[in-house]
Amino acid sequence: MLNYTIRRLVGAVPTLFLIIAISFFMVRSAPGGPFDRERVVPAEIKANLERVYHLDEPLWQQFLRYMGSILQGDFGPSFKYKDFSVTELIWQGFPVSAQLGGAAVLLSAIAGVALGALAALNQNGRLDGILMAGAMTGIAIPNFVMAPLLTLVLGVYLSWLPVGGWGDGGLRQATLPVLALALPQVAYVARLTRGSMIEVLGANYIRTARAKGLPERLTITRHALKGAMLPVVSYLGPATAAVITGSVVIEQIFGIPGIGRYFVQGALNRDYTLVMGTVIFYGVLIILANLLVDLAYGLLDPKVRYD
Amino acid sequence: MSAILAIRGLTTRFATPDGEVAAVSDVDLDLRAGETLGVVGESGSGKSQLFLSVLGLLARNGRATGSARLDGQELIGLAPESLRRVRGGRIAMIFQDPMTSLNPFLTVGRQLTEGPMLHRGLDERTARARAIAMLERVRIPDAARRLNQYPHEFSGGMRQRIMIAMALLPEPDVLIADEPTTALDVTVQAQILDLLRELRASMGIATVLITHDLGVVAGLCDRVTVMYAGRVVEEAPVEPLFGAPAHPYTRALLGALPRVDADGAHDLVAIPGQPPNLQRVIEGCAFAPRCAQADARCTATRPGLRAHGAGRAACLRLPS
Repeated sequence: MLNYTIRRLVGAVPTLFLIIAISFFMVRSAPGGPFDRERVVPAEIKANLERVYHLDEPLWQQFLRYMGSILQGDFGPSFKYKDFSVTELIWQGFPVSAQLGGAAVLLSAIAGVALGALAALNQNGRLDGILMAGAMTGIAIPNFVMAPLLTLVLGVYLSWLPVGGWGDGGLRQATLPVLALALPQVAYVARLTRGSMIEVLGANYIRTARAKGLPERLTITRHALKGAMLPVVSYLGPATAAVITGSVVIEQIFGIPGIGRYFVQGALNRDYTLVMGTVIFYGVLIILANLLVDLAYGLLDPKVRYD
Repeated sequence: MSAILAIRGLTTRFATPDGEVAAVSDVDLDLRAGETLGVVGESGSGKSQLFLSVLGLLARNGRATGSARLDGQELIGLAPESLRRVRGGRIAMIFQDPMTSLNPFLTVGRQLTEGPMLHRGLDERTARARAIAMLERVRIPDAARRLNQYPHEFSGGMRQRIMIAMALLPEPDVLIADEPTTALDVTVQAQILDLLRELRASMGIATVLITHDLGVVAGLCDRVTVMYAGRVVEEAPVEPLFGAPAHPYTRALLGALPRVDADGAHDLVAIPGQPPNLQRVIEGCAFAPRCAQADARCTATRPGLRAHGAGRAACLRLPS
């Protein structure tokens, strides 16, 4: 298992390099630059600034310089937040984003599995119909529509919950953004669970368990659940990625001071180093999440052995 | 000898989008204590569904009516909780495909011990000790170590041995083996049949052997019930059935059996035609369209089971 983990991490290096290279050139090919303002900056000042940040060098040289500095763990200064390095900004936003994203992934897994299993056990019944119609709606509505809708109903009309901000990430503050971020994933996981649960319940080994006279509850918890969980566990990798990209939007909508907001601000301001820093950070996070998922898969399925 | 399992008028229907299908129709059958009863018929003859009905293991769209009594206790329509105690505890069933019938996510030990712990109230240590003894009995070497392994670490034949051990561990009164050797290759088949024969001799448990392999029946069974299109068409002790089959379908089945002892002159005779569509109500004898002896009476009147020789048969052409 350790061998496997090391091999996977080594294998992630080219992936990460590609992510860095592609986003580096993409960000710089976007029109405008970090020091463009509404007010025209005098040409000498602009040239000075660009020299300080090495933006006057040819692109390939900038790229090599950037690669060199991140290999030393230095993600550079932010162009926009002048007194902060990119690393500082990311670590500032990370606890908030981690709480938001972690809560959303956890909620999608728990609520999604519970609802999906409930639907499967009532296959083609009324509850199944209601749940799956709800799930389809949840999947179909994008989070930038879901978030304002939830805010409007729960925050504005009913005044139950604050409509924005994060504060110290308490339950009241966190509920709306976590819900908006998690709902599409809850819906997807529920559909996935229902499908795999129905398939497993039709498996021969479930008939064996029933023929043994096991109570239905035990048949499901001991014999069916583990097999039904496998597709859900594999989905948690992509789900993490979806939650990360979703959080970029959600943090912006709710004014939450997480990494996602820095990412959006960075992109709008052409804050090259900040955008690159967040992209690399997200990339590493997604690679690690997928590795974790694969390791968890190995723990669940005895046929999978890593060595 | 009295019947330990007495089935009367058992009918099983499945609701399908194209209408109801009668998989089992009005079956009477007795399993006597200590005997091995072969139930033969081609695919779709209802032989598996008959016993799944008895155990309440039908698919969701299936309904069984009629009667099946285990030592006098009615099983059809029994409350699920009570039926559950019978399943595995008093009537055990093993299935055709050992590759998919064991749970791939649980150790073999876990799967072997849960039945006895549930039905016999054993604690885990005792149950494990019994499981090891039973695995040795079904000839799985190094049983104590293999208890901690998962099904994929065993071959097909080994898995069927585990299935058999699993069925026998709670000490049931009746064992239903649904095509236990069909999915295995020939040499392994022979080993499993040897094992079943040995267990029959040592344990004397009443066994139903569902199969389409008449060779298996001849080697292992005391009596045979032949099913066609969801109905019993003939039942008799093994020797008279093989020596002088009464029903034309049984004769046709035996004619389709390859024999190694016959000279080249013995040709296999295939049964012409197809089994009937069970969605339609069949007025006369279900076998009539494929039967060489059938006449006008056969397509109009449904034959009942009548005593014939040492057994019973359902054919209008038999002398009464």
